[in-house]
Amino acid sequence: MRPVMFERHVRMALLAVLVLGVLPAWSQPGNTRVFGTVTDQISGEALMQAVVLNGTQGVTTDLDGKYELRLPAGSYTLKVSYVGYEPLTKTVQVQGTQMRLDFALSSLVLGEAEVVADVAIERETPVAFSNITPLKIQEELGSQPIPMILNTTPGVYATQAGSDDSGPSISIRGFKQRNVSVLVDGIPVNDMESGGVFWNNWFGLDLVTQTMQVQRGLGASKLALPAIGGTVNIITQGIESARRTSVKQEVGSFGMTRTSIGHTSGRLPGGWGYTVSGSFQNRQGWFEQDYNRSWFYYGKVQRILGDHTLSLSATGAPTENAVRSYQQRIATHDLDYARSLFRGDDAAYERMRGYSQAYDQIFNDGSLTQAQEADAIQDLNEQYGYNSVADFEQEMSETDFIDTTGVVAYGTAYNVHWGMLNGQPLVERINQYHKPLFSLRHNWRVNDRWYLSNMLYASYGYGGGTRLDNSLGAGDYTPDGQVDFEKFYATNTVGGLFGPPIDPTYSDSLLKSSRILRKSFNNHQWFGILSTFRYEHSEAWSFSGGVDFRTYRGEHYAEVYDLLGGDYFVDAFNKNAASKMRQTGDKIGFHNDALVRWGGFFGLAEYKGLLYNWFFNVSGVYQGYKSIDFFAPLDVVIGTERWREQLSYGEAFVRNDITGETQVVQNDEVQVQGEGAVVEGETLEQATVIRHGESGTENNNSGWKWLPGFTLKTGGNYNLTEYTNAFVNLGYLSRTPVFRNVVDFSNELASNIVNEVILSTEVGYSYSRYPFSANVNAYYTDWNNRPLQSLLRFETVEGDLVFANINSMSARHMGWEVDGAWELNRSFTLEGYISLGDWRWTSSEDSLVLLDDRTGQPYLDQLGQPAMVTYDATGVRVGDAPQHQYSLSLKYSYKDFYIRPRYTLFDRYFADFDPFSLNGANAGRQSWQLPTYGILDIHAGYNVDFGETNWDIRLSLFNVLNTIYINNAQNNDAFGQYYFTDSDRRYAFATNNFDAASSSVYMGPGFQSNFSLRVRF
Amino acid sequence: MRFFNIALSGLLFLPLAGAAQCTDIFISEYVEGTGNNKAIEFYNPTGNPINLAPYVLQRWSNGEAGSTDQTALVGQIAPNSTFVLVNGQTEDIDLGGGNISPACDPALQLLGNQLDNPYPAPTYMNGDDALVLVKNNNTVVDIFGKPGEDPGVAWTDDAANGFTDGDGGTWLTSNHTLRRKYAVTGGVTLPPVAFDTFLQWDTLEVNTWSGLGAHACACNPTGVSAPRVQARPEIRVFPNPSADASLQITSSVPMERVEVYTAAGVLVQQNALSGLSWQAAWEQNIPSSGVYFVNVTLIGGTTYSHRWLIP
Repeated sequence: MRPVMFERHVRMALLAVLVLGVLPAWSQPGNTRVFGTVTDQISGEALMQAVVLNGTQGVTTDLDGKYELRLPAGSYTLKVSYVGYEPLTKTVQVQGTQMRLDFALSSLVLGEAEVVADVAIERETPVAFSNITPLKIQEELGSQPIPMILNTTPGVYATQAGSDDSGPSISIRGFKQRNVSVLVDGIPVNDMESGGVFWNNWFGLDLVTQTMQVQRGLGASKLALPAIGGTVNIITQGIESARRTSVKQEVGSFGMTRTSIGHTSGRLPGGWGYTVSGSFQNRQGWFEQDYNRSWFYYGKVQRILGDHTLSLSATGAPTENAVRSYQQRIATHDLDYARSLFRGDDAAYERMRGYSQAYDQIFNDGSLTQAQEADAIQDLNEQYGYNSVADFEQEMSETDFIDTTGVVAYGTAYNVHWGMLNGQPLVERINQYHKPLFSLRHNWRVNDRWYLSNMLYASYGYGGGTRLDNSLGAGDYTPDGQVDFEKFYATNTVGGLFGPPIDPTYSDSLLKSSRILRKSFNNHQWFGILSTFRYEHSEAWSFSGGVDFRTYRGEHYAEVYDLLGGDYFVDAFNKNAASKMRQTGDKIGFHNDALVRWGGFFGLAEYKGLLYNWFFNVSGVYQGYKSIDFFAPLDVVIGTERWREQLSYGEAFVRNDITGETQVVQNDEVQVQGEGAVVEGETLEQATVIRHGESGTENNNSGWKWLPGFTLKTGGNYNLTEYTNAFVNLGYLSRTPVFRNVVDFSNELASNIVNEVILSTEVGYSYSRYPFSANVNAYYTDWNNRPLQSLLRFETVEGDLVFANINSMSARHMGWEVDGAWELNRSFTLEGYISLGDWRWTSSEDSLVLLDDRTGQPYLDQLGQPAMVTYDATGVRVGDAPQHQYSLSLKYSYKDFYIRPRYTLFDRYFADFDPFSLNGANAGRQSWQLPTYGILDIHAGYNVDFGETNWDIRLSLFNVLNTIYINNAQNNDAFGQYYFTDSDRRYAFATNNFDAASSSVYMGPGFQSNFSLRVRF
Repeated sequence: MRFFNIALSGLLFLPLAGAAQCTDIFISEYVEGTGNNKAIEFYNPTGNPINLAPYVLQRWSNGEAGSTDQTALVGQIAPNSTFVLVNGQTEDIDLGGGNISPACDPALQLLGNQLDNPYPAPTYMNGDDALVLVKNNNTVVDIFGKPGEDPGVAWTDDAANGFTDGDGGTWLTSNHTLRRKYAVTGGVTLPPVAFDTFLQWDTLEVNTWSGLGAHACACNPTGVSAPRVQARPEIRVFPNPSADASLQITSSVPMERVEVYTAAGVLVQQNALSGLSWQAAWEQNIPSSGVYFVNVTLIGGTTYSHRWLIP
């Protein structure tokens, strides 16, 4: 008999005995119900078939790690055991009708999660964090993308229609995605160039998530991570002790179907084990023409050989989805909603509307001379008691007045990025991407003191997004507000004023497309090594450390995706190509590589006493940046000398070796003659001739730029009583900048680059005693040298577009968070959180001189003086995430049924804004505040256990009240359009009025539902 | 060499394309200055006034093979005279990320017979946009640039690259003022194979607009066009920006009163006066840095508003 089978038989027999033994106790009325869960202390993973013993009587836990005992009042010693874990013994005084006892067992073998992934542990790790268990994901995620579950934890704001093209995004404590580190099994997955996380590429991860932990603030990671807002730590399933298979089918709103399957082998002979999982989702989205087709695969093979554990894993999620990237005016989405924002009575609204309409009429009357217009406006102002239109605009911003008269509304699901072509809808913006991640790990428990972990990983990204080239602008839409593809198609085929688009420069018969769809690729190859050791010096002291090496190549280019009727496209950007004609699949626009190298080390000292523990962490990184441009003219290298951007296709570089003079001429204008050359008829005695593409030429590149960064963190936890503990931590981060703040798009290195500097501190207090638990923590983060998204772009006195780097911006984020759970009785559990942030900019400049990021010298303005910018953002609240968030949920359980309504309120939410708009009369002016909104979700489920199989039926209802709300807004959006029924009419008022009328928004989705059935066997 | 040959054939082609001789209006000056300092001057080479109502100026932006935006001209041109269309933006518009679309220089706007529409409009050209002057929606009267070609930043002097910005040529149609040569007597009505700026245009330094309002042309050998009648009174508000909050105003027509408002519309100064000039004597609070509006009301009641900056 094989050992596994034997073990199972023994366990079944034991179970039978135990259950029989316990049965009489169940039937006795008046006994206390003792219940709870048994989990892994580190990962939070539920341990099924763990044994809870009272003397010789006992029970085993179910699939979700739950157990239940009935005991008469009295004193008992309970012993909890599980294979591979240290048994736990606890003496308890049983009384009352029920009593909850949860057991968290620690593994005999120190786990990867603790050593490598830095999962925080309750009453030990001094950081603020929340755990999200697989059960919670099952119950509350529904069909949403995985980060959406984080809205159930304090301090995190997650939106599906994020502010970028890549789907959902999260911010923690007001810090955007690039300041939130994401780790999957200890592997940092934030983009090496931008720092972003593209959640669409992690579709399906919810299936294999064993635990997901959000650490707010600087977090518990030993690595030099850019975690200013927080860290999201995702640990995937390992090989569990028993074989298990699960199949899950979901259906939901917008025709969503998703089929998922997972299988884990359990521990097989020879120490082998494997886990595989797959999923396919197909849905129409909630905005017009939205769709998403995603696949997911995950496989992990593991072998345990004595003290060694070897594992190999592969995961990826090929995905294709429509993208909506332009925000719209509020009235364009919903007239009634826009009208409802007005703060004032109907009479006041009508009065303002009267002025607005009259002003609008004058403004749009093309027949008036300027003087007549000025007169008419003055009369109007006098009639309404305004000094100027500025008075009215001020009133607009004070009342959130939006004049909806004559505005065309296209609905909350309005999406501009599609149109009809030849009777079929054509989506302008589609994202296709696939980013498989492979990892090979070796963990070695050397002896009682030493633990070693080595991890190799590789990530290959391939794909990109389509869009029109030239990009969409005013005049490109049909009256329905859709992309006028028919017009582009006609222009590319039959043509217009000058007939068919035939350009004799290129061809006498082929049609030249002037508008096409292009696809911009952002591929990468990324390799990393993460090696960690841990040394336990004594019971109290332990040390760990290691190295973190990464090398990354990001490849960026655009391709012709659809010629929209024509035969070719002309693109002059590639200076190294013979022709400018491009067909489908040819590279256009840009083609460059971003190279990033990362050398990091880290060290951690920990002290663990009886009542308190303490850590000190130091980490450093040396980061290299290099850019290569394949479209720019080639560099010429002779010996140690380099001439940059010299040779385009068909050109030759000539150096007079006697005088050292160089010139670039057409290829056929130079002939080599012995040691010399004849150039344009002139003979050079000694010359070096290098022709385009020959040896001696190199692709234009920036060379390497190396920048150091470091992190210092320390903190301690004190367990005050059996039920309470308090912690404090302090950190200092010197963070290296993102790629585009170091190398600009013309391959030039910025010269005035400094690191971001972050100082952060946090205190916390926890209380946990059945039936009540709560955490409260407060934080203070000072963020200096806060960067812009990219270099600042402006026009010089010569009319050149130039780039400058701004280093001096800063912000201060502080606030506090409370979360708690209260088990009211056997049926009802109340959970909730409050997070109150006070996040403000702290910087202003009254005369910041703009420096050329290449030379460090000031740019000159029209008067020949150094160019300056002014802005005053001091005290202005940070935008793009609600500063106040409240959530309350009440779970009702009856046997295997549960229902959990959850209400979450988002408040003090300010539109994202441009700090440089805060000057002159607008200095220190707050961006528009979005209306407060609350969302009610209801989750319910039922679990049926048929012995061999276990069925989970779940229903999730999102936004049950169908609340109309804005989940993302841009202040003063100069690009937002008003669509009027009268197509010649133009918006008359200021578009930088810091108000509802001048903001552009995404509206949140309405009611959605999701139903799922999962079978486990 | 291929490009060069094609370009050569283009050169031969161009003068033929401009076959109309002193019979219809054409573009006589092209101001592609910094910021939004942009203007287009039209010239009437005939001996009769021409009503502009049938004429539309189209911009074929960034190589598009069709009009991306257009403006109908309003008014008329006297014989051998000019008509100037100027960018109409009077405010700085914040485009986000520190990018500002600046107001057109008021001095340039004063030279206009017509202020162009708000963005998008032809006078938002930036060097890589072709312009097409169309009459009655069906007749091409004049073409600037090569419609349907995106030259890069601008059309250049690089004949080997079809006068495009392919390989480091000098940009000619951006950051320059271009003036139609004296010998040109009519518009280009067929799209060129390549756009050679120098063939019909002289290049002047960026932000030159002193020549707007008059044009020398072979159609009128006796002299330059008649000086344009000043459409607006000349009002100057200076210094602007004003570092010390000092403010002077001169006007070609007597003023009735001057009012200074903050951008939020708060009145900070009001003076009744008569005369052609005024100097600030701050009666109320001296303005702090910011954007102000100086409203000058002339005798007769017309008010002109000027944007005034204290840095």
